[in-house]
Amino acid sequence: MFHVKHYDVIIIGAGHAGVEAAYAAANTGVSVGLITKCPSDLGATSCNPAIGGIGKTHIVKEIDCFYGLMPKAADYAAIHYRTLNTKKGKAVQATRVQIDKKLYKEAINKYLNEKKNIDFIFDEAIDILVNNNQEVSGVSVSRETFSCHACIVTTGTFLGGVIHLGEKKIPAGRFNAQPTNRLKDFFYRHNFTLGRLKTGTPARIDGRTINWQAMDLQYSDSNPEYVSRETSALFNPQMACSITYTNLRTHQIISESIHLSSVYSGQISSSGPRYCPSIEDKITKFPDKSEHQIFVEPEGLDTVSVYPNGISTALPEAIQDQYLRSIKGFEDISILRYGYAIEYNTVNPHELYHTLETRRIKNLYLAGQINGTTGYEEAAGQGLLAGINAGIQCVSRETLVLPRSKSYIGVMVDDLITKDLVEPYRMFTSRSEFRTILRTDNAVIRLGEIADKYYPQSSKENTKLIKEYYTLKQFAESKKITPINAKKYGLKQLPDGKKLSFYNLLSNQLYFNDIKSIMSKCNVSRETPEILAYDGYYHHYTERLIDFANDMDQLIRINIPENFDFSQIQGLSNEIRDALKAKKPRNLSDAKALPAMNPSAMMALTKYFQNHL
Amino acid sequence: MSINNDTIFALSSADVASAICVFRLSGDNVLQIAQLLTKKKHFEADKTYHASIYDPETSEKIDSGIVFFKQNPRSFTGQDSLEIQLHGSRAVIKKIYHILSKLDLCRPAEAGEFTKRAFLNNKIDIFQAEAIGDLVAAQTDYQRRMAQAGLSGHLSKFVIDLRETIIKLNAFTHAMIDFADDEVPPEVEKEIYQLVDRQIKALTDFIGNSTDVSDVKYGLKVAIIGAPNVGKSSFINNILQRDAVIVSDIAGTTRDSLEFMLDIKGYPVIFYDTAGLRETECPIEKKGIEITYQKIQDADLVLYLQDPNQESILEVEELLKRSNFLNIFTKKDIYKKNIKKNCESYFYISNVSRETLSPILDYIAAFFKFKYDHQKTQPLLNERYLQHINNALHYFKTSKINLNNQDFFLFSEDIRLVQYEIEKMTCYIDTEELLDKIFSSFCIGK
Repeated sequence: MFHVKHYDVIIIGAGHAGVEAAYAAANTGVSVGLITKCPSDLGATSCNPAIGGIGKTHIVKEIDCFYGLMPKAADYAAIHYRTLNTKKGKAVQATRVQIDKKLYKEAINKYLNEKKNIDFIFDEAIDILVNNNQEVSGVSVSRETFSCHACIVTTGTFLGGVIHLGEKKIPAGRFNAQPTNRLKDFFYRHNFTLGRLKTGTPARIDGRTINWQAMDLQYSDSNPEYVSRETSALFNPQMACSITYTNLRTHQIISESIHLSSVYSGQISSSGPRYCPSIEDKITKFPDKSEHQIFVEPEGLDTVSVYPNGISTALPEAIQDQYLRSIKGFEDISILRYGYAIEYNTVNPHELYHTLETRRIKNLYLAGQINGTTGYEEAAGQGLLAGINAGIQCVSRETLVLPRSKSYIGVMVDDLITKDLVEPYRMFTSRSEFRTILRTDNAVIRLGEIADKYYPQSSKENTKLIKEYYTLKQFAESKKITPINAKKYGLKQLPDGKKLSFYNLLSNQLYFNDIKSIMSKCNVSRETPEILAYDGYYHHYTERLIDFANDMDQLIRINIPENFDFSQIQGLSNEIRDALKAKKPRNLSDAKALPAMNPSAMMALTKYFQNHL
Repeated sequence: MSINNDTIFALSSADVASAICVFRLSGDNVLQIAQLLTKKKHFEADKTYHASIYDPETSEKIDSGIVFFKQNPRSFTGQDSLEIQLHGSRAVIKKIYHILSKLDLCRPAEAGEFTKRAFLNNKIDIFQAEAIGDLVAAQTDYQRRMAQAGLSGHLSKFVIDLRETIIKLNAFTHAMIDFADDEVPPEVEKEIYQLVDRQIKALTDFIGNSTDVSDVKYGLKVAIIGAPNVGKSSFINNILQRDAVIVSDIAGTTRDSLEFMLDIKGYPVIFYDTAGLRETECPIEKKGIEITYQKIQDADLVLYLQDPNQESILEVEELLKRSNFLNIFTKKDIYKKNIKKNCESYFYISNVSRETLSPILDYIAAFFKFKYDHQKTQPLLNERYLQHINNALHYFKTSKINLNNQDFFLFSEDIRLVQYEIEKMTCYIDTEELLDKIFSSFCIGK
């Protein structure tokens, strides 16, 4: 018999989910094979040149607590930082980074190459091998077959990918890249429920032909907040972005030719993301608006390519030529590449456990757009979780689940598994019920221990910070304002003579800054007083949320047996009974999240399962 | 067969001899049962039939009466339903009950099962289902009226409107937070302010106009106080003998304060008979008087009985300043000459002549009529709902403070807390429902 090379974990796909999964699995100490068609796929950013955003940065900061790739690469390639929501409250603030696409790839390659336990396999994955116990046993590429313990599939838009441009239909995973079609047979063969989603991207413009003077400039923050805790200085010179607007002339051109767009001609029937509407959608759904904003983003320091954000389209090339040139500043542009819509296959995420392992096949994990999400950050977050799980599964047969109350990645995975997707899933802060807890500044306190536990080579930086945080917290909770120390610390006396701890007083705006600066003098790192200050600021709200989380945890602990016959329970309407039958919730918390659920039915369920199980 | 479609029956009229008795059936087998009992083949929906009722086993005729068939979904329960009206003798009731019980096609209904089916089949909402419970339990005319008001869906409409506002507010705040970079129009912020103000006012009004269910369900509280031997117990005895009916004795009260629920002109009223008030050193009596003081504070109305020849008790007068009270001078038969006391409204009564009580009962009825019929325009509010609506108002008020402090994020957290309170009354508000609202309201997203 010939020798078959073995990897502990094989990853199919090297987009944002794939590279993050490879890096995380490698960090757990296992051997990793990363399969992708060509070297230039590594760390490709197929859509806009930016990482982060509200909700999205929240995910990237969580990845950073696992010493992950995306935050480091984002800083390495950053050419523009902008903190959003600065006036709306710390918990929903987020820094978005414009990146140089070439530098981003360079960074991903550099960090992956530092891991000696990652092999790159440049080939097309064509099948996943499964043994008689329904466990993954290997992966075939076109030239050979590898054996493996676990496999993570991150096909992105490549699985059954088709590009639409006007009437044209081109099988592709992204512009100028072949789709992955042979792997589709694997999913059919094992009876996975497949779905089909759509997304789109705008044209790319030659920056040298844009009239920049005609547009408003937006500069990078002068005091930028880096994405990764490992970053301490800017890597690159910073560039400005610009803002321009569509106008009535643009809208007229598009309306007149709307029937030619693949999205409106009936050529595409799958659903696309509502929060990334095509310009066709914007004009059709909001006919009263006289202009739509376009954010003009340079794609790098030494490239002429510019990304006009906000006008993705599937109109034919000739119409794109026309309507783009009707926009202020774009009058004389030359177009480097036309915008297009892309359709691709997904696997219904209800097929997954909270570890991202499939229920049908053991040690098979799915991450990224294949699970119905959109966005680089959402993909990377799932890649991280799948990578760690596949890794620790090999090492110690352990599993990692991130609860909703601890992480946005946990919120995302839970939403994917328990809710019905109607469109590609994007993270919003409103999806979390624990926003005062899930902030970008305190991610390391929430999640830092996990990486230090599972990564043998970890620097244990997280653990150090967490220890410092709890020491400072103890100080802030035990220190009370008294008439004597108030004067000593330069604080205002409490009007009613009450004694309150520093920590409790942080929720009072009159004391917030003073107490924060006292804490900063306690011989600690720059981060901890900041984190603690906001923990204190939100603590009234957080306590209520924790009560709520405890209620929810109790519901999670009440399991519903598999194949349970809900007709045994009196007091359920037929609608709810059908929903329960279809969704098979595993516990009362899942049942509660069903859209059809109401309080009286929930009461009936709780009563029944508390008494009977 | 689904468990909720099996056929149930119940005697809907009282289980006592009367002119007419009514049996009600609901479920899939209703038509079959009607055919078995009447030997008639055809029943048209919504038509009444005069028919004889037979025992299907012996073919013996039991009685004849009216049979009324309603086809799903246009019946109260939303299922096929049958109503049988027969002569209400004990023997007929017993026989029909026996016949129905022996049929394999149906079973006796559990308490409230018809209403439950109506609820499960979306014929009524949860508020209406609870109002029906109140209606059936109503002992006085006032309770009936208030329950009827609940049944009309007044509360449901208010809560549904509130839910709509919350979805809108939540969508607006989420749009402003999650799409900071996009073009959420500046008017939205103004609209948020207006929505919050309007909702605070709506909730405040609603709570102010709503009748606390405990008043209606458990009666309006009237305390009867006065010095020993002033005639309190005779007063109560007299009330009990005329114009009023004892509705219930309330058990578990202290031995020094007795409670009776009476129906006075349709209003449920609880009378507290209290220990006589006087200076005392006896610790047991002192305790009794303490309880009397407590009752004065709890009561909606205090009847202060006094002997016109005795001095009023200063301490009591002090306490009464904070209550609604009525001065009543007793022993009209002994002191023939009216002795006018230094007070604005008063009644003279004689426990010998019962006619003198009528004006007081009229006054009590008028007092409650004014208090509840004029001021409270909304139907009664269940304790549970009242709690949630009060909480919602509280969070709205906090949200206003955060909004004024420019802490938009905490404002949105407050609105979310309101949402949780609403969800406890209706059903969950899903993120998707919010996103639908966001994307249909604004053109956002890149």
